[in-house]
Order: sequence, then structure tokens, then C-alpha cells
Amino acid sequence: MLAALTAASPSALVAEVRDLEIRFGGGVQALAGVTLQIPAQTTIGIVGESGSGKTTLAKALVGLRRPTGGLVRLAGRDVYALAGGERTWLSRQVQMIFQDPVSSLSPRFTIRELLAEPLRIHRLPLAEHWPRISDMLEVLGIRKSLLDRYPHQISGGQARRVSIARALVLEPRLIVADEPTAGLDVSIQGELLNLLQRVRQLYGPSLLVVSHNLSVIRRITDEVGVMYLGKMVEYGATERLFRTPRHPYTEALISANPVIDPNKRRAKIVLAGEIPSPRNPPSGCRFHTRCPRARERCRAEEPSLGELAPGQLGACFYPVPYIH
Amino acid sequence: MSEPLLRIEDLSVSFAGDQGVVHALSQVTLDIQRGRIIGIVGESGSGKSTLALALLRLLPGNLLDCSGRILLEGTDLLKLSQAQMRGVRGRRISMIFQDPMSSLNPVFTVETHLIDAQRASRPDLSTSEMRQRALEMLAKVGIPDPPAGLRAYPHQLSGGMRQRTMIAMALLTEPAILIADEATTALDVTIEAQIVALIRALRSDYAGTILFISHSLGLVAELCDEVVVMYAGTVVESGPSAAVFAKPQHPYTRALLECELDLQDGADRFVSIPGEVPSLIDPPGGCIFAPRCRSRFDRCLTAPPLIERESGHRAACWLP
Repeated sequence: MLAALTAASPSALVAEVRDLEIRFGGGVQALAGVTLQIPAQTTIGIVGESGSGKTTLAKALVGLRRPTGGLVRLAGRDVYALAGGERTWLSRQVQMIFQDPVSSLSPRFTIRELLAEPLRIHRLPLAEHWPRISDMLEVLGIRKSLLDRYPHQISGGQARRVSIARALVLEPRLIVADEPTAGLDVSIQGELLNLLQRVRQLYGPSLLVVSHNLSVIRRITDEVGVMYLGKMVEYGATERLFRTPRHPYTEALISANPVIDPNKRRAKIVLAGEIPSPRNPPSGCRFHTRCPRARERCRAEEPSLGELAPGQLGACFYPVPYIH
Repeated sequence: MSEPLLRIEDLSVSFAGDQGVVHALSQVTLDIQRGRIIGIVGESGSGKSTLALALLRLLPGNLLDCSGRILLEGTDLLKLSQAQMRGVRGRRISMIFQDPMSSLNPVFTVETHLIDAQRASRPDLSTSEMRQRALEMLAKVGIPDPPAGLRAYPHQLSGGMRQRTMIAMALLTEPAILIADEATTALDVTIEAQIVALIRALRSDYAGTILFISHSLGLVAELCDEVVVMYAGTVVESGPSAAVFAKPQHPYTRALLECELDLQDGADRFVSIPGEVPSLIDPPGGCIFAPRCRSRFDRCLTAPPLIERESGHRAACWLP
């Protein structure tokens, strides 16, 4: 989104989401006008709690959730206005890595078949299949001896690599990863993060990483968006946003993250109350019911996303004072 | 030091698995003092939940063997009859789980749950007295409108409110030990922070010991007085939280802390522990961590005992 501020040309954008609105049946508004621009070779993190809409945003980007308003563009084309036959074009632009790698692999295919499937669907010349697959094995550290096994016969770590390989084998320009480290023990989390970094360096796709793990987001993303109840409440360069959050929600979210080193702990801001239902979001600023800084205006009027510090966007009337 | 509230001696637990005998716990020895918050940390398969279930003797049906001693104020829980054990569960030791919905009965109101929970432990109270205590406890655990809270059915509550209700239910029985098994894992981080603040605040009222089981080192570092680090069914290190996190004595604890992103200073490579947790079906002889340990040497072929290094700080490692 900062691309807008730095006036990058639209052609440099891999993906663009504008005023995206998604309503589900039963009056649930999962996304209430979200705008996001993903430049080439950039890793963007999306953080937020239950009901923030972060997973819905991820699904909308890969063509899995038709918006009820707004636009999703990949490489300049409206994803939801593609002709039926253009699905294959879309899946060469963007791929998704799912949270549970084992369940995203069909149990009836061998690893070899799983890796070849995308190439087959996209009718790549047979002569290219093996070079591409063998490239993937090498980059992602998948042992050749596993090729004729089935997903249940390999370890979780290897299954994770296979599912990344499947996303990567067509060399998409954008990879969307939904909670890639959820359910991983800390001792093996680093391995996955190293893989993602390697993929970035070698293939240069843009990455959108959706996660509730702030430590992971802080370490691997260039820019980060914080979502609350279907809205983007703050957006900015990752390190800056973590150091000097301006939106009170971001500040509270960061402070709630447990820290081992007593010297690095900040004062906890324990938010009162619960996350309201997206079925019936509060008036005015959606965060006002829990915000320690809320005043009268916040109940009546909804703040729009504006520049709260150079290169840092936030939707707040009374932002956290800026500390240099 | 006075007699510990709970003394676990050489506790070993094994199950019949599809592929052989699973040694879930191997010779766990621990002393737990009164009025402390003890963190039990470990990764998947470390045995932390098995330990909790063993204390309540709620181990699953494929249990093969549970040996050793679990002394609660001197009484060996493993020697009690089923009837006697029922007097321990939910009275002397209470437990809250990750998913409160699985512990709350959907067809009963919170009031029914909170009153039934007291019946066994407080037969001296009338129903209206129990109701009064329930109301006070709901206020104490931060349910905003306690009378409405009593009337609610579990499905009408949010995840955070359900977990508060579980804590209220557990505390109403005034247990000597409250076990919280990943009790905040399923909650959003701002709600988790509320529950952790609540547990901290409860200390002034609740004289018992809290066993806080978690995979989150950060959470345990912030909340617990002491920490027990488990790996593949064994205790590898235990001691005062501050000491264990500042000066870890076991190579596993050290390696685990190195994996924590917050403790790395922006290097390009991320740290992980090479290898995998050993199979508990045929665990390697000797030190269980040796196959993944950077510092292993000849002596590691023999399992090291848990030895006190500094006051209260123990580690099971041959290295000094």
C-alpha cells in the first residue's frame, strides 16, 4: 500500500485490492472496504485476531472468494471478471500455501504425481516437467527417495516442503501463505522460514503472509497491515510499525505478545472486553468499544486510513503519540 | 524446605500404540511447592499433557503401565481406589483444558455447572449459598454481568468467557492444584492477555498451586515462578523461571531458546534444531536429546540424572 505513497507505477504492482467488501449470508461483513497494493518482490504481512477478515482477504486474492464490492486485480486484470477458460492464467499468477500441508495434499497421489499435477494441468511440455520438479526438490530439500511415497508416508516437515513446491512449481508472481507456521513447534519453525526466504531469493515472488504470530511477521515481512473487524486499521513498513505503532489497537496487540527477555518487555496494555461480532460491528470506529484512547468522536464518526507518520497509514482520530 | 505439596517420583507411563509400546513418560521426578505458578513447557510429544492426566489418573484406555509415585501431601495417588480418586479429581486437583466447550455440557446453564461443581466438595452448603458463591466467583473471574452469566448456556458465551467460566468452576472447589493445559492457546492474543492477567490477579485469593502447561516459552517466562522443561517424555531441566531463561543449563533448553525469534537479533538465517523428536516407541538409550545435541560425547550413551546445579535449578546433562 505504501507504493501509493511512493508513487510506484501501477504496472510494478503484482496485485491490487481496492475497497474490497465481502459479505457473507446472515449479515456478516467479513471485509468492509480494504485497499492493499502488493508491489513486485515484496513480502507483506497481515495480522489480526478472529473476525478481522485476514483469511477472507487472502482467499479473495487467490480467486476463492468473490467480493460483494470492490476490486481484486492481479497483474492489472480483474480477477473476478476473468472468463471461465482463464482460470489457468490466474493460477500462474498466484498460488496459496495452506495452514495444514498434509491435508492439502491428495492422499491418493504420490509425491511425484502431486508435483507434476500443476504442470500437467497447465499443459507444460513434458520435457519441462522433470527439470522443473528436480529443481523444486533441490531448492526445497525434498529427498528424491520420497517421490514414490504417498503423503501419509512422509514426515510433516517434508509434506510442508511438497506443498510449497506445488505452489512454486509454476513460478507464480504472488504466493499467499495463510498461517504458515501455525501448529509448528518452535524448534522446526526456523526451517520453514528459511525455506520461504530461499524461495524469495531464488524466484522473487511477492508474498502475502497471514499470521497471528507477530514475531514471525516482524522478521520476514517488508510491510505489514493490521486488521480489525474487516478493516485495515494500520499499515506501514514493518520495523517502523513495530517500533512506533500509532493505532491503539496495534499498540495493544504488540504489547500483548509474550516476551521471554525481561529487558525487552513493554508495559502490557490489556484491552477490556471482547472482539465484537462482525455481524453487528460497533458504530463509528470499530475499535472504540475496547480502545483506551476512545473519545466521543470515535463513537459517532468512522476514521479513514490516513498518513499518521511518514510512510505509516492509520485509521485513528487520536493516535498513539509518536515517539522518536 | 517444608514437605512439598506434590512429589512425583520416577513416574513412567506407557501406552499400547499401533506400532508398539509408546513410552510417553520416563522416570519423571519433580517436587512442587505450595502457592506457586509452575510452567510446564515442551513441544509436541514432550509428555506435558500426559503428566497432567497422570496426576488425575485420567490416562486413556490403552494405558499399559503407570509406575512410580505421585504423592499429594504424602498420599500416593497411584495407590488410591477409583472411589478415593474421585474424591481427588475436581476437589484436590482441578483441570482446565484448551477447549472449554468439551468440558461444558451444552444442555445445562452456567449456573448448573457452577453449582454441581461445588456439591461434592462443599456438602455443607445449601443450594442458595452455592449460588451466591458462584455469583461472587463469576465477578472475580471478570464476567461482566454475573447474574446474566449464570443464566447463559455455554454456546452463548465467547471463547474467553467460556475459559473464565471454567476457571470459576475449577476454583469453586478450592483445589490444592489447578492444572491449566494450554488453556489460552485457542484464544486470541488480546483475550489471552486478559486470562493471563486474571490468573496473576487470582494469586492473592487462591492459595493453591497452578500448573501452567504451555508450548509458549514467552507466556511461561512472563507468568510462572518456576519452569519445568520437558523433552520426549523426560524432564530435562527445572528451576526458577528467571534462572532457567537467563542461564539455561540443558542443551535442549538452550537450543529451544535460540529458536525463539524474539531472542535472535535479525540475522538472515533462522535457527532450528536439526533432526526430529525421537520416536517414543523405541527411544534411543542414554540421553534422549543426544541424537540432536551439538555437545554430545561418549558419556551421553548413559542417561544423565536430573542434578541440582544451583539452588533449585536442575538439569539432566553430563556437561558441567
